[in-house]
Amino acid sequence: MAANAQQGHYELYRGTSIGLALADTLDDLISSRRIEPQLAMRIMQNFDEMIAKVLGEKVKARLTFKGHLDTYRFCDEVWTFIIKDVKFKMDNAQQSDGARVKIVACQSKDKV
Amino acid sequence: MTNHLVGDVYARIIDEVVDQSQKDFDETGVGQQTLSELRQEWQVKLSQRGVAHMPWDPKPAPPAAQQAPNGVSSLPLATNHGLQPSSYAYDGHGNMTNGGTRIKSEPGTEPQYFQPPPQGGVARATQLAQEYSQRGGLALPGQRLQGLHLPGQSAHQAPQQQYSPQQHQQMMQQQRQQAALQQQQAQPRIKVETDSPQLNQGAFQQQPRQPNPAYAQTDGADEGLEEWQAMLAQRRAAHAAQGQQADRMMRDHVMQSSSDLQSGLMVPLDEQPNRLLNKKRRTGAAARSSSTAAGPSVPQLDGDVDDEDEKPTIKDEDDENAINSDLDDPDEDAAGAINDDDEEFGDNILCTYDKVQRVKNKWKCTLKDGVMSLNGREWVFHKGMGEFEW
Repeated sequence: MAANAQQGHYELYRGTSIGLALADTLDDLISSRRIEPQLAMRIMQNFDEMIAKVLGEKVKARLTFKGHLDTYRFCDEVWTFIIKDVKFKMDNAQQSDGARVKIVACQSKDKV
Repeated sequence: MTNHLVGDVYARIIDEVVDQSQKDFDETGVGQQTLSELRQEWQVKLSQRGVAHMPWDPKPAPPAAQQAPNGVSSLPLATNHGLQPSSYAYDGHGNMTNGGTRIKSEPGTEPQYFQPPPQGGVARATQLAQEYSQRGGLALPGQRLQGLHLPGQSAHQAPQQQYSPQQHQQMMQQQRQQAALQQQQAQPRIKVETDSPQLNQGAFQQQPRQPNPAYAQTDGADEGLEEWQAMLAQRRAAHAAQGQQADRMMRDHVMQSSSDLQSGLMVPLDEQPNRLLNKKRRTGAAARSSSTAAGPSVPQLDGDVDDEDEKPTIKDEDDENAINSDLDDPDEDAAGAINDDDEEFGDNILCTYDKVQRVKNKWKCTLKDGVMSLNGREWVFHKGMGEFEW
């Protein structure tokens, strides 16, 4: 479900702003009939692949957080947590708070 | 972990995806122009979300955020997201013609494929035709004049080129070219007639600065134009009819798959595939208990079932044979707890996990390659350690 079958990349990141922006853009192109939906699907798959690659290669930042776990679920190898009153700590000691944060995590590819 | 990093990472992703998609565009015969436009729109849409500062955002005159100096290439953009046509293009740049271009190809020579906004295609086309007939005498100061020093492709040539393509409209490539030519002709008129004040505003900001090929023709009518208008009206009618159904298709698909992913268990029961099975089982039970009843899923083809009229619309709570477990209840609280938030704007982290451990009520997890959206901003991280108690 989470990974597309041929290439094994998670579609998870389509829910990020960059993924949604791409989906919106493709929607526009489809509805103005400039590309076919099949091509749009291919592009989304390219996106799945590339975002995983770039996140893996280019990002070095670390994050720690503490909070109160409200809901957890493990289904189809996907963890979902809803955490309340979270305190995030970034690399540069920057702090952020979140009242209610949902975490969706697919299994890391390294382990598969 | 600065928010700045996000912009770089996203820019890289866009680059990679566009590169990767190039061959897919080639294979499907879609022009590279569309691909570069895809890139532009993607960047614009991403910037509009304001989740982080993007490298192409207009801060220190970044080349990426500039619209093309030539009116031809920048116009479609402005029309497509007409709501904010100038927000990213004109900040601090008085003279557009000096700016760099985001479109790789030569804007004047390469045709841009243009489609009008989906709504009102027919009406707009007829309006266009009317406007064209008035056009001979209608002098919009500044605009017409600017058109005169237009290089390259003037509207003089346009109508003549149209003749042969029009006879082979079925061919995709030629259609695209026609549309591009049409765009050059129709563009300013579309702008002038738009009802939306924002669109108008955008148009007026642009027009004085951008020479437009459409005004190059000042001497009499284009012979091909009548045919053009007819063809265009057809195309737009077809588009208005069919365009809507494709609208938001990709987005819906993405939302659907992400909700599938995130809530395999908690999908509202009536959307789940096995809901059907459930119903059948339940109605089967009902049929057995009241021997005359035909299940709702089996159409009644013979005889009357007067006393069973209400059966097909049976509700869970009416069905005394239902298990009446909480698990059957689609709008029960547990389902809402995880799905009720607005996925797009809620705070969330999308990532992969290495380890999730629990000792009693203490949880520890190691997350990787995550994108965190928090308070309207986004961050990316390579590794995330979380500790929380339940």
